[in-house]
Amino acid sequence: MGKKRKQSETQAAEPAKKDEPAPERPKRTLLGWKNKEEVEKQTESNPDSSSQVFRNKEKVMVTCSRRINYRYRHLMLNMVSLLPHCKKDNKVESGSSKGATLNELIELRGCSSCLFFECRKHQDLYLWMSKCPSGPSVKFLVNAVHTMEELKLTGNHLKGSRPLLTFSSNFEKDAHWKLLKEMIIQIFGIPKEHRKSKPYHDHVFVFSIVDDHIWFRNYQISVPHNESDKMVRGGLDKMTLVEVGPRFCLNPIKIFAGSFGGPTLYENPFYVSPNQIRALEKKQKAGKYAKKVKAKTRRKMHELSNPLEPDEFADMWRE
Amino acid sequence: MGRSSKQPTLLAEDTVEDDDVMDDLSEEESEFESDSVEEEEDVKLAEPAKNAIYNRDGLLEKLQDISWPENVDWMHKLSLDIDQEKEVDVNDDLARELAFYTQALEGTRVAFEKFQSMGLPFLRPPDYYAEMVKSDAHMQKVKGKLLAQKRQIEEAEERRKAREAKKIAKEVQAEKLKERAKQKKHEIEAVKKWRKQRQQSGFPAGGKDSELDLGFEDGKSFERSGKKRPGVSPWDRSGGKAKQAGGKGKSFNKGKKNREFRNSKFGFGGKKGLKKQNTADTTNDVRGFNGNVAGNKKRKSQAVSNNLYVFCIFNLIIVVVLMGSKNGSEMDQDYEIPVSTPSAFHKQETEVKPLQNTSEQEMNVGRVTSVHEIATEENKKGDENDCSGDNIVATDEEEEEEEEDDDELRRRVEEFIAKVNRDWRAEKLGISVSA
Repeated sequence: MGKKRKQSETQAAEPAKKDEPAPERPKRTLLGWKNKEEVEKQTESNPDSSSQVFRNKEKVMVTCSRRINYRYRHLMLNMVSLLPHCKKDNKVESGSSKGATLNELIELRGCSSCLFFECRKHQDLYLWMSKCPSGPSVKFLVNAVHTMEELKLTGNHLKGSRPLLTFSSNFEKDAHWKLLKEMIIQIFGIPKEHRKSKPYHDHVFVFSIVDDHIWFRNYQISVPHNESDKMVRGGLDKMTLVEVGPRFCLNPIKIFAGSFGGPTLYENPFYVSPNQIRALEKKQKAGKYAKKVKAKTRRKMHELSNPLEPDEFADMWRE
Repeated sequence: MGRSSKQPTLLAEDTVEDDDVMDDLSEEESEFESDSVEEEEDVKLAEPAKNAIYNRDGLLEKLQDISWPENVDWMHKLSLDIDQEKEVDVNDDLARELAFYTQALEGTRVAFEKFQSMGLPFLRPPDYYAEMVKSDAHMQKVKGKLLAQKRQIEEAEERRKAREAKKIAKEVQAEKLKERAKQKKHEIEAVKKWRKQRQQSGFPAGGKDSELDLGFEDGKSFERSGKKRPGVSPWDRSGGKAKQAGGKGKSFNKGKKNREFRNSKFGFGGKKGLKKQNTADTTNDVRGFNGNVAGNKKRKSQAVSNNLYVFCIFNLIIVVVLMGSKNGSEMDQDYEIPVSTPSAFHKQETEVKPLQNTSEQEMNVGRVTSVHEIATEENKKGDENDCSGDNIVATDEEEEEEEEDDDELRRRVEEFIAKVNRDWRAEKLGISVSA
């Protein structure tokens, strides 16, 4: 009974303070009711107070499937080092029931989103991005992986400094790209004033859609400095970027409404799974032999159909 | 569901492919070649699958659900939209990366301006040290790699330069040779022309007054003469190289020389006999004759020492003889004086005689000097025996002088003895007379 009273008390006390931020919530957390008109009205009435109250409490759980190979594991670790607001968890068996276990794990760790690196057959890497409790979730195929450890990526930056997120303009083209952009901003953007973050900005993330894939790059910003911390005049023109890594390319496969499941909202019409590609290759190789056999039979048929004329000089020298 | 629907289309494609596998194979291969390694797996369907799900409303709804309030401060998002000017070709690595780079750069510029306007810190100050994404050890590795790369490039550059220089040098050399040949030809031409002109103007070519008959008119002097091996005897298989090869030249070109020498020795072409016959060359060849002084000197010094040795021996003999004779004479006299006066008389007579003819010593006849004479004769003989050196003659003369001195001494001694004897005799006579 006491409990209930307390709750009611707090509820009674808070409305006075949190009158304005309260209507925001339905928009963010998706609890079912979406009275947009109301929300808009509220936000219009006092926009500055809402922005004051807004706090990004994003936490990302990063984990991977079992039997991941080292390259992809390193990629995952690189992501962990890039995102100070993430929590790394143990490997998860990637079976049919992984969705449920993952959801449970995320809830246990108190995270609001998840990056799940799923490795299949020791060679194909799938990346799941999911907003936790109520979706959506995206499954990507990851290509062209280069980890930060590669020596040709020569940049370096502060650990935990907030990155600038740059998106190519074609993210606004389609609904699914828009959704992906929003998810990326939430997952890869480090919350302002996160306790592990640093107050400077010395690297840029690039998300660019080329050929219906999302390409990821991470660059260090380097500007010639004077002795003091002030930048040189015209330093903006001399600004250069050095790549830090990692690099990868995300090929979206499917977007689900829920977290690790639910109805499919989007399906990539051009997607061919790597298994199918390999099968195709094999088939082509097998086709080589079939072709030879076919050619042989065709030749035989041809010889049968037009036989050689008997040579009149054949037994000329035979006596 | 989507996948299962995709499968049949793929299979259908496969069956189509089976009919013209060849074309497809080549196409596939070319595609794979053009792709870089990273996009190997990146194969797309040619046509979009017809029944792929696209729930636009659902997507938008979800977007609404998850998105932050619209009026959220930019500082929370830090997101920037950058226009891509043109479509980027995925397979062109350079263009693609450049597009990403420019996107990032533009984004940073915009962000920088925003930060400046808000008065917020942007880049980290140089004295702000904190943990970096990559460890120092790793950055050291990166640095090492960069340095190694730089060095490699420099080395390659150096090698390339050296190669080019060599090539140029070769060309220059060829040019020079060509130039020289050209000049030579030109000169010959000029002389010919001059000669022709001369002939035309009245000087006959073969006439006696044409003072010099230049042999290179026909250009033959620049070729080898008709004789195959000039200056080499016909039987010499080595072509005159045998002596050179045998005599010297092991130091350089060893193998070649060696071969030549062996050819000359064991035969390779040419006549086989007649090797030991004299020819003009061999007779004129004075290489075998050694005009060197060193050997003679040695021999000469040996001879001198020989002579000296002989001389010493003879001298010794003489001295011994002389000593013997003196002693004998003294003894004789000592003995004579007390014992036999008549003999002493006789002796005195004989001794006076040589005093009278000292000049003709060799003609001495006397008991006392006979021995000496024999000795001198012997000496003379010895001198005659080794009459090779002048100095020996000189010593002979000295010896003669010495002998003369000796004679003088002896004479004096004898005179003295004679005088004493006379005195003693006179005394005795006087005593005897008085007595």
